[in-house]
Amino acid sequence: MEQATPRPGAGPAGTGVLAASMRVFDLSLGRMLWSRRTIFTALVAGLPVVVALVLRTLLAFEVPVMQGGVTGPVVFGLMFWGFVVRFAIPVLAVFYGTALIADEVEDRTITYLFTRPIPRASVVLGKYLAYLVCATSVLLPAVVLTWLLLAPIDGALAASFPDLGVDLVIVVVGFVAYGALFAAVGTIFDRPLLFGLLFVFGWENLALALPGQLRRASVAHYLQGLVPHAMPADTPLDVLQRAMTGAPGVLECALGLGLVTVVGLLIAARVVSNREYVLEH
Amino acid sequence: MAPNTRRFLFGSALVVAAGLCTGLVAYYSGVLPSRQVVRGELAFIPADVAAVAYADVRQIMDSEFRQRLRSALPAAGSEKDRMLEATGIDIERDIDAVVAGLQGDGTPGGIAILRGRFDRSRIEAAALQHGAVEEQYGGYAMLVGRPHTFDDGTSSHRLAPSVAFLGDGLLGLGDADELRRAIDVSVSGESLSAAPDMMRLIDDVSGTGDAWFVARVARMTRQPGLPEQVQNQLAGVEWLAASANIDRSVRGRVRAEARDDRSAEDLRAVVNGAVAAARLFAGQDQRVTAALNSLQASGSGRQVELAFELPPSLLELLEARAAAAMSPGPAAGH
Repeated sequence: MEQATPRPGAGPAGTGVLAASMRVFDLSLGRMLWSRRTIFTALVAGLPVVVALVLRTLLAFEVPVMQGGVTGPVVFGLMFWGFVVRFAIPVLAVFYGTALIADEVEDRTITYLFTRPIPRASVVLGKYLAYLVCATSVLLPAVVLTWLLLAPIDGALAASFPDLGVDLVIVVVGFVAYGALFAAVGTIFDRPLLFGLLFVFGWENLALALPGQLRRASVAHYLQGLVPHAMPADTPLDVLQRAMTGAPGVLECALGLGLVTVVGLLIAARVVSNREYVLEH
Repeated sequence: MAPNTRRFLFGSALVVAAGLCTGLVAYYSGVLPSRQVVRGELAFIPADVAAVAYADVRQIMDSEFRQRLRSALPAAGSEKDRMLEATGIDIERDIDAVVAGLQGDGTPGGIAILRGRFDRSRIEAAALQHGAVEEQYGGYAMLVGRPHTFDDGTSSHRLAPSVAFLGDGLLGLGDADELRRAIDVSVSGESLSAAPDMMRLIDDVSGTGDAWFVARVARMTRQPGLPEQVQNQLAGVEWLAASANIDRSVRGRVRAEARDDRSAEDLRAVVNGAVAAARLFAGQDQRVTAALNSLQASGSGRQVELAFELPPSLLELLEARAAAAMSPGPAAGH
């Protein structure tokens, strides 16, 4: 037996998209924050903090772990570049972004949302805003704590503070762009999580490593262009570094990420507005 | 919004705000005062200098590395005595910090602005003993030394080594004309603060080490006597900045800013090649190997960075070499 959701469309007039989005945001935030997904988010976000704590403990016991001119700010830069930008942000965005609408379909609760007198686009926008608040409220404190633990090791909080400001902006911008992209993916594909993970770990790595202009078709290319820390050499990441020669300027990064965000959200809103969701019992 | 959600978001915002406040306090209390102190000295450095260098002399003199270096190279002590005899300045006790500006473009000289506690009467006595004459310029007292001709192989220059008392705890050393110009630029505002490119790099490196150096490479490479090969290698480099932290060991970072991405790529290849060659020819000495292993090249875009560490064990090698040089050689006839 199948149950069809109400007729697709932009929703009844009378309720503004923004006001309706804020209502959906308010309803979704609590559900999103206290879900099992947040436990995974906390584990991912907590990993650099744990590594930083272990480093500090080893140094307190005078274990020579920081050798070869490596300082705390350098380690923080490598962790931010290698872990936060290349792993945590895209992975968390995949898990949250692809589930914005897919979870409601899976739980068969989308009917209740669509029966409300609000535009369907506001459902996408409200849930997207809830995801942004949820993801940033977990990862930003973790980045700050990691910085507080690592930056003073043979370095200075003062000297690396301006870079921290840029790092925090990158986290937010990364979630904005990746989230919009995967929100669109979540509305289009039947298996959005699989597609998202393939995009992050397959396509993005391939596009960055290949010569030519292919890297412009990845979000990582623009996000990495904003990272203030130097990229490591003499490691497998060196390959990426060479591929990144000719890193995009700030304006190009802003345009690229802005375009991904706007197009992603428009596609997600359009698909949700026009699609007839048929829920199987 | 549920109370739990509200509490979580508040806690999260609190952690971020606390971290940012800590950083802000550190930034304004840690970096800015020292920058402001350095800016006092920079006010006497003309905007068109080719390079600027800074050293926290007090920190470096008190460092364990310097103490060990002194025992490894006792000859450094005689240089200190010579300086005391010539200028009346005790490097180890009188100077806290020094900022130097170099002219480049093949022009010799430059000036050094010293901050510390100076015995004016002793300095005056030493200068007058060497034939200096007293002069007032721009409201500052100067001791102008006897001019002498300096030949660098391509042309000869006339220099008058002089001292200027530039205010409370500030002393200028250099050629008389250079010191007069330093006084002029401090009044006219044509000092380094009017060179935004140079100040950008100085802001980057100041506060990151006990000593730092920023240079416009094109003007430095026009110095006579610099090998052509070195000039060619540095042709694509626009800016060079270096900083070092000297404590038990010396941790340093050299950063080059190339003219374009292609030049940066070439420079990265040269640096990586040089590091590999050094490792190849380092031999079996663990101490040298440890120092070479500390070399870490990195960078992206137009930036090329090289981090290094000179460990205390390297000084043991130096001590051993110095001891070998000091010991009497095999007796004649054997």
